[in-house]
Amino acid sequence: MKVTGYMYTSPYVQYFVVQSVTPIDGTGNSISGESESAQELFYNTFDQSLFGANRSIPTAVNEPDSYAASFINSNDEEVVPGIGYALILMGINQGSIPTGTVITVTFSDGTTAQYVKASPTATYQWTWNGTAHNKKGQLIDRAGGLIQNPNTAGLGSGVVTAPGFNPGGVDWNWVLNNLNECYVTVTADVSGESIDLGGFTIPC
Amino acid sequence: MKIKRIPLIFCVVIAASVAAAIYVRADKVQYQGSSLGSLRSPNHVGQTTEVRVAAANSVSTRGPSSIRYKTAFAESNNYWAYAHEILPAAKAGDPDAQFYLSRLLEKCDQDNKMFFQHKGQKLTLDEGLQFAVQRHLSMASAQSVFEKCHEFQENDPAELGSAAAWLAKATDAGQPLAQATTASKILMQELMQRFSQASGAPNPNASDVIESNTDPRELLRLAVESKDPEVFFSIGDVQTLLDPTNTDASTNRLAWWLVACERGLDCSANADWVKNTCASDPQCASVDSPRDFVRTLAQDSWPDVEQRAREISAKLDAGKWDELGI
Repeated sequence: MKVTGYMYTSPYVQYFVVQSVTPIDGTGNSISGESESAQELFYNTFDQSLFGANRSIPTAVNEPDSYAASFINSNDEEVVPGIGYALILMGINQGSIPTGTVITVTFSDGTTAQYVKASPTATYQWTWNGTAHNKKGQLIDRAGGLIQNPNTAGLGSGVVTAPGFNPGGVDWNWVLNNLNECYVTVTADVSGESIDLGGFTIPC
Repeated sequence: MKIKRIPLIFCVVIAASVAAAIYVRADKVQYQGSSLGSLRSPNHVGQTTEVRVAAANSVSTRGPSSIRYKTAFAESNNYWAYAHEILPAAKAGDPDAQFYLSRLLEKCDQDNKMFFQHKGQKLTLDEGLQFAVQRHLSMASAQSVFEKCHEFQENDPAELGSAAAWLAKATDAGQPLAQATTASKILMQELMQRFSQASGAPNPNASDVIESNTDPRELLRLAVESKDPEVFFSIGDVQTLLDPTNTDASTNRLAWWLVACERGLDCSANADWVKNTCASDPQCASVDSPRDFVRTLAQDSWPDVEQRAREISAKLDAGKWDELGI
């Protein structure tokens, strides 16, 4: 969903004012003009992409090291039999999984990839659907190269508040406008001790 | 005399026309598909459709030519030789020859990649067997693939044409298994496109786009009239693709498979599709009746699957094609 609006900030309250909501696909194109059934189909696929076969029990498979230790530069003649073997270890016969079902395969180096169940008559029982992430959660291709965010329509904006930041006692905030990327640092304060959990860059 | 001759000539013409119409009609009954002028490119989703039919005679509305090809394909131990045997018939326009040529070309391509290629390099028999052992794949399957398909690695198969082109020709000619196979490929391709649309990542099979305005449901609808158990199996297989939001799709899938098994599809542990599915699951080797494997998959929903299968069978027998939910 593409939500546009602005952040309303006052010394007393702060909230986001929604001005428009548009259903969009992964590249930022609106799908609001599609028929209801087409949109339902899209949301179903999107749901499967996020949660796998079942929202309650997302199917995640750990690829055995002996088949493929990383998705990067892997081959399906290694990965696909590994999925079947991992499922057996989980007590699941892959024949019980309907054609078209998506699973997320996790490799020992932290890379992940989504595979779709093919027909039982197929030699390759699983097919990569194009979605894979490195251990940082960034979208990658088969060679490990980063896939740029395809949805770059509009730049990020927002308000960051820093309660208690100002020793003077007044909350302090700053406004970000039209930025491509935001660098986020994560710090945890535990019993008065500050622990640096690192940082990462995300599209704003 | 002249007055009497005219009706006689008229009757002869009418009789000839009726005979010609019956001939044309009989030809259409065998392959009822409409002319679907579409060319499809290969689909790496890889539906090799090697489903053997133990009781080929159960195919009730198909001609002997179809049964002959089906049996020969199932019994062949050398697909290279068999491909060259049926190539002339395929070139001459025989839809069955075209379909089985397409099937074996795709199967050998996929099987060779799985068993006798690694990181793009071709493997010898010994290397392939070792690679199979490493991956817990069946040695017997690897041996069988080598026996049937190794010549496709050693020779240039270009003279045999492409699997996609033969499948398109067979589909256009109304060959039921070709229609069902094409429908499955279109549905899978549509799914992959939707995944790409949802994630924003490129579809790795984008080059395999099937350009066709043909509705896969229409293809399945035409194919089902053949009453070929392989077609029933395909219809079951694509239930979740036909209607991804249908929570009952799993029952429908297994019900169609049960109908296929009961009407002659080989559903024993020896069937290639069962072997594919089971891969390294030793429990699969225990199934021996056509119903066993489906029952194993159905688990608690077995009564529902049996009931649905009875309903489907009744509609098939009554020719109520439009009530089959395709």
